[in-house]
Amino acid sequence: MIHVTLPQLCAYLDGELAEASAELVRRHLSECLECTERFAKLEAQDEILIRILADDPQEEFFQCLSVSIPLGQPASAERPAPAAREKPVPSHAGRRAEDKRRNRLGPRTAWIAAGIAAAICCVVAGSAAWVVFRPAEPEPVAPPTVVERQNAAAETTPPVEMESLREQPPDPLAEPHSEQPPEPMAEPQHDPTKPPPQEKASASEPAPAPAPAPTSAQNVVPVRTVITETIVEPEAQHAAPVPVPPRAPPQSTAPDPVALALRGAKSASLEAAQSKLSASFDKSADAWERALPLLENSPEALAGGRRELAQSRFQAWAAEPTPARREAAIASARQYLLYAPPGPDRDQAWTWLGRLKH
Amino acid sequence: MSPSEPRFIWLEESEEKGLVRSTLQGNRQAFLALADHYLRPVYRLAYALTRDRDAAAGIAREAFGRAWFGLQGMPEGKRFFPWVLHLARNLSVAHARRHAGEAPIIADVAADASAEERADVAMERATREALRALRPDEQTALALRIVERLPHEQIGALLDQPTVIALARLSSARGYLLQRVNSAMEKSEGAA
Repeated sequence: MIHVTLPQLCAYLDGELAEASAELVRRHLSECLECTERFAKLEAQDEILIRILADDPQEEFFQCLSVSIPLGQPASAERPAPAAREKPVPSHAGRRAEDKRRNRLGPRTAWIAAGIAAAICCVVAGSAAWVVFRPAEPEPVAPPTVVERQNAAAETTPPVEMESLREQPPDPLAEPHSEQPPEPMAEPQHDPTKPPPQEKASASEPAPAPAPAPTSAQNVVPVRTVITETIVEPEAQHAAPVPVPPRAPPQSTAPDPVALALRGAKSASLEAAQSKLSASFDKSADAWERALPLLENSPEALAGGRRELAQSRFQAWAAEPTPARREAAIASARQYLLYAPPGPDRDQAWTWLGRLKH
Repeated sequence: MSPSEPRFIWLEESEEKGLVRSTLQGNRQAFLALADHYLRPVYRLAYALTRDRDAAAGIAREAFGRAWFGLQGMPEGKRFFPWVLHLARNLSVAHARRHAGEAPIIADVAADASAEERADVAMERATREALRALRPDEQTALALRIVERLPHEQIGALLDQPTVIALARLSSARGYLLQRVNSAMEKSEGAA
């Protein structure tokens, strides 16, 4: 007897055979026990495969998934014009030649470019670090002397004309000083190459106009530093000079609930990281859970909050595994993964999820 | 919908082309309409290939994200769905390779389970194990047939292969699974 082949059985099972062929298979199956058993096994296997391979989540799941598709800046701006898409595809030989050329020139060019880029980065970073983290100018050797000199000059002698500053080498790029004293400083952090205004002690006063250009060829940068450190109240000029911080923290009348919630959650995270107790991690996770609804308007903060929540839940479970903690950790990790952009944080969340599942 | 009908419906070709054209001009809504229509089958394929809901969601999401950024690279004249399905399939294969060493998640048998239930669980376990040994195209063809109930012709079109090749993939996958599961069941019965 000639048996039905496996492809024929599969095609028959899937209803893909023509009617005449299907009739032949049907007739054979009615006569051949071996093929009938095989066909029954295939049918049973399909049932098992449906159980294994099919998953039908709720519609909400797909809505959530649809929203989370990462659509960044539209790529259309960088897209080639339609004409560019129609350029002829090079032949295999042409591609090989192009590949060879790329291999010959590519790495070398890339190394040179990388070296130049690294050098530029170093210079820029170094300059920025110098401007931001530059060590403060040494305190005047005798602050009272400065005050005395200021008093003696009766406000006509600006504090910039200190001997210590005169010793600074002249900056050929600096503009000459004018005879007028420098104006109060409006904003301590401005371009150091511009003449610095002088700040009055009262932070509530409106910012005055910028100072005129200095007259002498003094270096402008140290002038600003000394001024900010030796400001004296006009009424208390006879008292000892008190260093004033360059910028007073903004005073808000009503606390921002978002900032408060964030601060609370961050401090709870910090506390949990130090104590490494499951209860602390639970507390931290709860704090982040409360903070998340407040971060709806800030996508970055929201993503960070979701990650913190997932991390706290996972660490709580890792510190003291319980079924409830596991479920909560899985839920928060899934929530984070649903929106998380690709990157190391996302990979780590996958690791958590993997550990939670196994 | 009857059990033998396909589970998803293709968009009209002209409508799909219009949406693709709008997307290429930067229209997000057009792309979201495409994604909304094809998200479910893409997710279902990813799930069938990974057997992990979270991974499948991530893969579907990433496939559409890549489609958004790389739509200009879609070959001229090709339909959107096979293209994005191919992206999801490749991502699923990469995921499966990364997690090749992990044991499949299979529910334990209850202590008071009947012999029939135990046999069912054993067969499911053997099938899951055997599925991992299938080639990606065989798994894809099987998923498109079992989950999406697609006819062989459409499976071939989605795999960029003739219909007979789609049938060959399906039958070789089923034959291999049958053989592996049978031998596993015989072994377990022998051990019992």
